Amino acid sequence: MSRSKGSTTGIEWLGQKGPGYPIVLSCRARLARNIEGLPFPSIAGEEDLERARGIILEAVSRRVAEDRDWDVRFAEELTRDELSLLVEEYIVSASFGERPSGRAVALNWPGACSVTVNEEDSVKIHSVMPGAQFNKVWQKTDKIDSRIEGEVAYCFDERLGYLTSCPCNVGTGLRVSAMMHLPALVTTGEIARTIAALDHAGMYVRGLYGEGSGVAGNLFQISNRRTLGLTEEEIVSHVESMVTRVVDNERTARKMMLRDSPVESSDRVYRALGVAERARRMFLYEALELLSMIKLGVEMDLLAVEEFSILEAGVAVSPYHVRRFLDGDIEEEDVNRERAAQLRRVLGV
Amino acid sequence: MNIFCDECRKNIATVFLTKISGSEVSKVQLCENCAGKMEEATKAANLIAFLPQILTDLEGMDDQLVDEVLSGELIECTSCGTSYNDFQKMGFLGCRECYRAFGEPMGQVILEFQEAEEHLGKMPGKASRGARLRKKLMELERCLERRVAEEKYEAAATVRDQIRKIESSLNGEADAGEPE
Repeated sequence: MSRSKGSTTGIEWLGQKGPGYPIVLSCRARLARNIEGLPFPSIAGEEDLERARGIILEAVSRRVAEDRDWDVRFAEELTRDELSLLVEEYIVSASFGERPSGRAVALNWPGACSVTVNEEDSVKIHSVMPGAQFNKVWQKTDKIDSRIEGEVAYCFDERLGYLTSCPCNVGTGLRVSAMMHLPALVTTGEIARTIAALDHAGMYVRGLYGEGSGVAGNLFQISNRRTLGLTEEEIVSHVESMVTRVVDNERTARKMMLRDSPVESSDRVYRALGVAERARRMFLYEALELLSMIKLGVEMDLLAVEEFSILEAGVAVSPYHVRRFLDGDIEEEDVNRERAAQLRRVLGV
Repeated sequence: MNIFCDECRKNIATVFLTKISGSEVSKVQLCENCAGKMEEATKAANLIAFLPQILTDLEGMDDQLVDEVLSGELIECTSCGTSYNDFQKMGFLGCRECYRAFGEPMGQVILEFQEAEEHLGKMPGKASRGARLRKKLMELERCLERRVAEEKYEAAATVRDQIRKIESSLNGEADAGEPE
């Protein structure tokens, strides 16, 4: 296991296709744990945060990494640019760098798994896979968890299960989610009913960058709300069945668009392509919306643009990835200009 | 994350909204009560919400607000010093003892949010035999319900026998002096 400050990147899963493609882009499982005998990170002092970091990284190094490609980054050693790149690649949450003291992330690029230390909880174990492979992604995460647990005593209560900083994660500490691209549900307005139904069925619906973020590019993260009183397998199968239904709704909405308003549908996707080809200044939100519409056009055989990954393209136009093409004193206007160029490069237009 | 309403910070949020205004996108989570108030006070002109409720700033101030701000559970965790008020405002607990220290209101929060009171999932190696048996028992009880609903009575009888066996084993442990 090596410790580095280097900036990214090995996010191969972003561009890969899995079951449920092109509607389910990726799936993710996350386990939240705390260390027995230490306070939770929200109130812990520097000394306890350092201790927690030492305990977890030691366990990861001995039991999980075993000399394979794990890479450790300490939050306080990363520059703002490096941190932002990790956020834009969905490796850490936006809050990771807000209080960097004692925080770290151990990453395994090829396996698309990570262990984050001292965020909301002492330990967060993440795995990501392309498409809808919920059971596999859970098993992968579970395996890492069990190995760490071989070395670390987790905070566990026999009645409430794994104790977490927020009671919304107590019990299993498991959040299983899918990143979905739902442009037709949004265009037809059916998304409101779908979200209301998901909410009713105990699911969270969030935007591209997870908790607290807005919706952009018609990309939605759908995950379980309850973490207690269910087995991990029940949570996984509940999320899977909900996601399957949403996929079905999106497919129907696409058929409806083509059947009920073929001219309007084709106009929408061609307009998006037209703007992407000609615009010389672009905000992130607009770029994501255009990418979404163009992708829909490609998938509905309306546009002759080469097939691309919307997640990969979304990352490529995000602020700190665009900044890598620029030098010197960078103004926001420079980023917006470069983003328009980057969008054309991504689309090959 | 915080599970409480963004407005009153007292009730559990059950309504999740996405608010888009120009290029600004924000998320709001509210309890039924505050969502209702917002809906009444709506100025919908520049808002698109993804849920049936459309919202804007909360305008009404009433006696209930006084109650929300100036009353509440006065409990503090002796182990880490986090108060119940801290938890409501910030959404985080300080240590494992907070779960016990915040007693009844904490139990309510968990029950309301999780719709459950007991862990059924993975257990670490250190969990006691009693805890494992209790978990197995709950799983079997749910299995029994399913078998009966499916009218598979023979299979149900087998499950019931397993349940009795575990129950007697658990009772045996209780008799042997294990604290309840």
